Amino acid sequence: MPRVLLTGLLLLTVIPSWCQYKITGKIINEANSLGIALATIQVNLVDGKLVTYTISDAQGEYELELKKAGIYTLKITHIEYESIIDTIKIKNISSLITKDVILTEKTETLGEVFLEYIPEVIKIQQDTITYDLKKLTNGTEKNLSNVLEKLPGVEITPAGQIAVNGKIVQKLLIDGEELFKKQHRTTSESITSKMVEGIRYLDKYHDFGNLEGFDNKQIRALDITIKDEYKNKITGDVLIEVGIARKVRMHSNLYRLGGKLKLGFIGDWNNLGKQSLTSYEYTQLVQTRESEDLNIVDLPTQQQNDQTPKFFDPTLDVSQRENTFGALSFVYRPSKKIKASLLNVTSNTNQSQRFLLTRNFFENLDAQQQESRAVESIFFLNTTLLELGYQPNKKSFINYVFSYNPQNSDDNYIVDNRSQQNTTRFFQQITNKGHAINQKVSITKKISPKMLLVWSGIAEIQNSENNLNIQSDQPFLNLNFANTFDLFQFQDKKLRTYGYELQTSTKFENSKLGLHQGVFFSKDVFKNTLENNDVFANNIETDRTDSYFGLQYKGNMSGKLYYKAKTQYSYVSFKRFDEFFERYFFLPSLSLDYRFNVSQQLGFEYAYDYQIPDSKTINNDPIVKDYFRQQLRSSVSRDQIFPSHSIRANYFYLDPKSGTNLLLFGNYSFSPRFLTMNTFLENSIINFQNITGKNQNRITLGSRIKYAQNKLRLNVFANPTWSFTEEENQINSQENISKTSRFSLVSGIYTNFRKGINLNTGLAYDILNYTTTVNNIETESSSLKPYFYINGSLFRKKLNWKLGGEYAMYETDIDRTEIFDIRPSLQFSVNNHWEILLEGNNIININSAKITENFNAINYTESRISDTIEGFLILGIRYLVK
Amino acid sequence: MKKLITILVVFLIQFAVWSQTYSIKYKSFSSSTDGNIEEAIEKWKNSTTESNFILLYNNGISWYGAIDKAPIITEDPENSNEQVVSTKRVVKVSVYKNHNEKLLFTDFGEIFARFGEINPIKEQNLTIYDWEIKDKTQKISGYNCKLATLTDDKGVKVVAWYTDQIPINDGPSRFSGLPGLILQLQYGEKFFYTATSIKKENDNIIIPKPEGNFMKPKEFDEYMSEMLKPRTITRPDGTVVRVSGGNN
Repeated sequence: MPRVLLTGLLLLTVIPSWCQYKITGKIINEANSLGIALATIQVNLVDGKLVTYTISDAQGEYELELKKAGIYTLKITHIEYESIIDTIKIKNISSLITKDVILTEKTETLGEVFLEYIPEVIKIQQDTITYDLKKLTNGTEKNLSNVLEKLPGVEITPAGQIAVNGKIVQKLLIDGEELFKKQHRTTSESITSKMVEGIRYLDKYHDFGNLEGFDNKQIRALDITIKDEYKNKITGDVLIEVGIARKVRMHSNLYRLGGKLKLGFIGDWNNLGKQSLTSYEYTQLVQTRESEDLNIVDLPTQQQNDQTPKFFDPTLDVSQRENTFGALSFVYRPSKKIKASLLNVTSNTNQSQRFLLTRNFFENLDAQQQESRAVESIFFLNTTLLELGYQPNKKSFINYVFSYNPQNSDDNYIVDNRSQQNTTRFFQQITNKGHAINQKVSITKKISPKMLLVWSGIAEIQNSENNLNIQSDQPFLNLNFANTFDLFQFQDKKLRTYGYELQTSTKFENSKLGLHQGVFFSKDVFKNTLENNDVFANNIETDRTDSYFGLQYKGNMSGKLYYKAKTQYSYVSFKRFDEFFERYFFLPSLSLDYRFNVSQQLGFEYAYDYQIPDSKTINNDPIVKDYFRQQLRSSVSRDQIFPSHSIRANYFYLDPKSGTNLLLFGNYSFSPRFLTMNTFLENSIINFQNITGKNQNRITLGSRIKYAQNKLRLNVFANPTWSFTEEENQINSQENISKTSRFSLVSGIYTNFRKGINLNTGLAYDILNYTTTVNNIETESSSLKPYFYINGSLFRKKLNWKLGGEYAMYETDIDRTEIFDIRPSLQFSVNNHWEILLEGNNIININSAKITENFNAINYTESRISDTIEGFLILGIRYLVK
Repeated sequence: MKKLITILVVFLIQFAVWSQTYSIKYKSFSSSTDGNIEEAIEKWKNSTTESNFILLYNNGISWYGAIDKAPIITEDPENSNEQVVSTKRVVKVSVYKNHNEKLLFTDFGEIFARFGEINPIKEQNLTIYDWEIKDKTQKISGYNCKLATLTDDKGVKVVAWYTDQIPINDGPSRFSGLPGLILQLQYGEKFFYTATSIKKENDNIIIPKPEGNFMKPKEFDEYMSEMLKPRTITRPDGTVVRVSGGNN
C-alpha cells in the first residue's frame, strides 16, 4: 500500500512538467527579408504579466516554451525597429506553433534623453541581515560576545549557542571559516571588538560542498568580517592577572586570519573558577554528525561519563576550581576545491567541593540525616577533530570527518554521615576512563540538473570504564562484607555503530522531493561486576539493526508559506538475552513557516519519534550508585519502546529601523511511555529502579521582548519563560503523579550612549515548584537577583571603568542565603599594545563564601550549605598582538 | 561588376543600418569607496558631480567602463587614473560583451603595469543569467520599468530595474540578458549603478575588442592569486612597493 501511494505521489509531481507548448519562428527585416539578430520576444498574459522571453539568434530565429494553453500576447522589440504586439492562441491540441514576425525600421531617432529620477536603494538581502554596528555599539565593547549581546534579535543562550530571531545559528564564521566548530561562546569571547569590521546573519548560507542549484549545505550562519589590518599576521592578546589570595589568570587568544591558512589558538589557566566550555559546547565537540544530516531517528549514543557536565555548567557549589584549557585550530583552503581543518581541544579541571547537608525523607521523617561531604575531582578531556572536504567540480563533493576523544575523570569523596544515632565515615572514589572514535564519510553527486544523490557512511566506537571504590568503618548498603568494609565495582560500556544512508533530492519549480534509505548496525555491551559478589553481575548485550526508508516533500507557496512534510517507515530488530524482537514504525513530521516578510514570521512543527533504551537501562542485577544509593533490577521490559509526540510553535517580529523585537515560542511534548524511576527508602538507603512511566506532558512557553528607543539609545527587555512537566512515575512502588513548574524572568534596561555614562540594570527571578501525590510533597525554591551596573570612559576612551553588583537571594522551604556581589572593573590603555586591568568579583566575600541550595529527589529533599567560589580582586596586564 | 556593386550597396546599407551606436551614461557607487551607498546617493543628488561610467552599444557589441577610459569618447578626466592596489582594490575595470558570439572580456586595465607586469584580460563565455522577472513595476523618468532579480554563483543577490521601451539587452558591468536596458542595478550591498542619460550617437562608432593578454578563467584566477600574494616589489623606477595581499 505505501508503495502505491509513493508512486502516485511521484507521478503527480512529474506529470505537469511533461506538457510543453513550443513557439518557434523567425524575426525578419521587412526591407531585405533577412533575419534580425538580438530581437527580444516576450510572451505576456492578457493582463500584461510577463510569462517568458527570449532573444533571437544570429539568423533571427527564436524558440520559446510554455506550460499552459491559452491566449497570450507576443511583444517583439529591437532597438532599430518598431515594436510589434501580436496575440497568439495556444490550443490544447497543438504543441508546436510557428510564428514569424516582420519588423520595419524605426524612423524617429532617440536623440539624447536625460533620466531625471531619484534612485532608491532597496533592502534586497531577504535572507541576510546586516547589522549597523555604528548605531548599535558604543565603542566600549571588549569582545565579539559583548557586541552580539547588543544586536537586535541576537541572543547568546546560557548553553553557549547563538540564536538569531529565535533560531540557533549553525555556524559562526570568522573571516569566512568556522575555526572552533560549535564553541560559539568561547570563540566570540576570544575575538576583540576592534577586530570586527561587520556582522551579518545569513539565513541561507551555502557552505563549502553546496552544489550549484541545490541547497544540500544550506545553513544559518553568522558571518563576522574582520578588518583588513588584522589579517595576514598574528593578532590577538596575551593576558596575565594576579590578585589577593593567590588568584591567578593567564589567558591568550591568538589568530592568524586572511590567506589560505587560518589559525586560531585559545589558551587559559586560572583558579578563579572560570570555565572555558559550556556543557553544550562539550557535547558538540564529540559529535561528528549533525542531527540534520541523517534521517535515522534514534542511533544509540553513549554519554561517556554521566558526571562530566558538572564540570562545565556554571555551578555555585564549587569552592575551588583550577582550570587549564587549550584549543588549537587551523583551516587550510588552498583552492576553492579543497578544504582541510583540524581542531584540538584539551581541558583539565581540578576542583574541590564542600557541603553540609540535611537530608529529609518523606516517608520517614525520623530518618533525617546530616552529612558533611568533601569532594576532590579531576577531569581531563581531549578532542581531535579532522575534517577534509573535496569538491572537484560543480557536480560532486566528498567529505570525511574523524574525531578521537579520550577522557578520564577521578572523583574522591570523604563523607561523614550521621543518621539517627549512627555516624559513618566513607571514602569513595569514582574513576572513569574512556575514549570515542567517530568517523563519517559522505559523497554528494549531482546526477542531473534537477537531482542530487548523497551517500553517508558512519563508523563509531565508544569504550568507557567506570570503576567505583567505597571504603567505610561500618557496613553499608545492606551488603555482606567479610572483614573490611570495602567495595570494588567495575563497569564497562562498549558501543559500536556502523551504517549508511542514501538520499536523493529532486527539484521542481517551487518544491523538492527527497527520498532516503538507510541501514545501521549497532552493538551495545554493558557489564557491571562487584568484586567477591555474584549478586551484582550484569552482562547485557544488545545487537540492533535499524533499516528504514522515507520521503520528504518541501517547498514554498508564493514565497510566503514554506512547508516540509516527511514520513518514514522504520524496521528495527534487536536481540537481547537470546531473545529476538522486532518493531515497525511509521514516523510522520510536518513543519510550516509563514513569512509575512523578512521581519515577521510564524512557525509550526510537529514530529513523532521513538527511543529504544540501551543495555544499561534494562539491568537485570543491581548496580551500586554510591555509598547510600543503589540501582535495583530494572522493570523496563526488554522490548520496550518509548514514543513521543512533539509540537513547536513560534512567532517573531522585528522592526528593522529601531531594532525592537518580539519573540513568542512554545513547545509541547507528550510521551505516553517514557523512562523514569521508582524510588524507595530502605533503612536510610535509597533504592531506585528504572521503570516505564506513563503520560509525560511537558510544556514550555516563553517570550523575548525588547523595546529599543533609538534617540535615547535606550533598550528595555523582558524574557519570561514558564515550563511545566507532569508525569506518572512511582514512589515506593506506588503510582505517583509528579508536577514540576518553573517560572523565570530576566528583565532590565540598558543604555548605549557613545559618550558619558551608561546604565545597565534589571533583575533575574526564578521560582521552582515541585509536588507529588504520594506523600503529598510540595517544595518550592526561588532566587531573586537584582543587578545594577554603570560604566563609562575617560580620557578619550583610554580608561574604561565599570562598577556595579548583584544582590542575590536564594530561598528554599528551609533556608535562605543572601550574597552581595560587587564587581568593579577598570581597563586602562597605555598605548596601542598595552593595557592595565583591574577586575573583581564578589569582592565582599573574598574569603569564605557560602550558599544554600535545595535539591529535590523523589524520596527526599536535601538542604545544602556549600562553599561557593571565593570572590577575587585581580590586577593584570594585557598585551595586544598586532 | 553588377555583382560587385550589389555587394557594395548591400554592405553600405548594412553598415548604414547597423552602425547605430548608443551611449548610456551611468553613475556607479561602491561600498568600499563610497561607504554607505544610500548616503552617497543623497550627496550625489545634491551636487553637480557627473556620471563616471558609460555603456556603448552597437549591434550586439558593447563596452562598459569609466568615461575617461572609453575607447572612443573622451571627456575631461575628473580625477587622475588612480589605481590603488591595496586590500581595498579600487580598480576601474572595463567589460566588453559580444552578444553574437556570446563572449565576455573583462579588462583590468593597468592594474599591475606599475609593477612591470602584464595587463590581464579575462576571456570567458557571456553569462546566461537566470533572471527572475517580478511583478513589481516603477516609472523611471517616464520609462515603464520592471524588476528582475537573480542570485549569482557567489550567492550575492542582484536586483535590476529594466525597461523594454529601450530594447537593448544590456546593462552596466557584466550584466545583460533582460528584455530591455537595465537602468538601475544593485549588486548585493557592494555596488549600485544608475543610468543618467541615453543618447544615440550620430557618428559611426566601432567598438574595438580590447587588447592585452587574454586568459581563460582558470588561468586568470591563478594569475590574480599569484599577483595578490603579500610580497615586496621593486618597481622599474627603483621605488619599493609592498603588496599587502588581496581579499579572499
